[in-house]
Amino acid sequence: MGDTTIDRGVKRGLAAVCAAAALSVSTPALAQTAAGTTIVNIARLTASSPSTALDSNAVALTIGAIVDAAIVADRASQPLTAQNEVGFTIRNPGNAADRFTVEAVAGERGPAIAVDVDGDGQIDDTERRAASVRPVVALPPGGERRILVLVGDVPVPLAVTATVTAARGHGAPGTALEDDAVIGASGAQATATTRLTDTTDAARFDKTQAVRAPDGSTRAVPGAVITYTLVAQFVRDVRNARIADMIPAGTAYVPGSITIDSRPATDPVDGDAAQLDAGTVRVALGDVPAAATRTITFQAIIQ
Amino acid sequence: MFRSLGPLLLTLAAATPALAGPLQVTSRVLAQVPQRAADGTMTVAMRPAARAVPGDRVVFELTFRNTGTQPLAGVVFDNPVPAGVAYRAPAPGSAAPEVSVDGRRFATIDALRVGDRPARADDVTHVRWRLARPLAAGAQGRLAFLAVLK
Repeated sequence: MGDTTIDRGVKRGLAAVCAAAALSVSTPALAQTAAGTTIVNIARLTASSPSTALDSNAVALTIGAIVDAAIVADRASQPLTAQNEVGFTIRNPGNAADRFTVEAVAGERGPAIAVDVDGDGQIDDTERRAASVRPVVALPPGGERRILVLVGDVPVPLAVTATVTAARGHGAPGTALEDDAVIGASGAQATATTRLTDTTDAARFDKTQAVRAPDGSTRAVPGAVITYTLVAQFVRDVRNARIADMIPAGTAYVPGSITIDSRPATDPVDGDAAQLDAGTVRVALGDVPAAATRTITFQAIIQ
Repeated sequence: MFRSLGPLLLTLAAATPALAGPLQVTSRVLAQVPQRAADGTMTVAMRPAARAVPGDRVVFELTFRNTGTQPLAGVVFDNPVPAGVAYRAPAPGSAAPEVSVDGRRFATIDALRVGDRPARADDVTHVRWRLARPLAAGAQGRLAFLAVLK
């Protein structure tokens, strides 16, 4: 999942560009009130006749923990080398300290992962020697750490996918955990992918997202609309290029929201290049010349 | 003189709640509580809650009643918006409050500015309701506003 594959079916004269849900729903940066904070409300009442002043009872609300996870890849793709060290940054977007498990997949392998334990932004020799296939990283709310997936030598282009999972639990957003904690919009698990490419790849493919909540903020809350933007940059002429992107779990596709190079496209299979097919946005770009860029957007609502 | 003043002052001090006695006010906070129906669908109900998480919508509610025998005139409810809470709107069924972004000037949100831009709901620091008419003996009411936990 999450890789950009180029099918060089030269005999068939086809090249397909496919992307699964390349990025998970990562909660945007926001200053959340810390878990355990108590919010107290008191109203004051006055009357002029007869002269009266009175405070209401104090009502208290304690902020529970939101458990979320986020990860971003340093780069969407990078060239194959002898070492193939692939950098990611994991982040705790929640409002409580938590521990996070990191795992990576590169082809059939589960490579070791080095963690920037001291938080200096560099992976030093000590941290490299301590690399393991399933490191656990403690992060304060808003905290982040760089990790380096030590893939080693691989002969062919492949996708390197890293997944970060909150130790307190993961699953559907809104699910209650122990101690009144609640799983946040990310599902408390997030994935990012870097593709190791050779220089003959026909295209590079990037995906970004923007969140707009009903209250006008960028909070990733139920009802918030995520706009996904897929940008395919073609390095050489490609015939019959196709893009496929799954609607992420925990979200619902906004009907009629697909655009291709800023022009709206309809969901059914009809005259235009786009269709919604069982939870997957599919766009047939056709023959695309070298140096061309195609931009697809669509929207989903957080459930 | 002092001997008689002492008990008088004491009476006055204790009189604040006593004077306010004819007015009962109860503050509540209600938060979104997701509920799973038998068919697996989820709905969200607003229920009194002691815990909630950032992003949750909450309702701060005041219910009041004049339990005395005299009408009360010039009744004002002042509710500073607590830290960690972002004001959103009047709650359904409640009179709209006047709002303030500094605790001094109260108006509708469209009439307020922050620096050189129009005020937004996020800027609101205080809400206030002024009852237009005296609150008759036995009369009661409810005032509430919607907010989001930051």
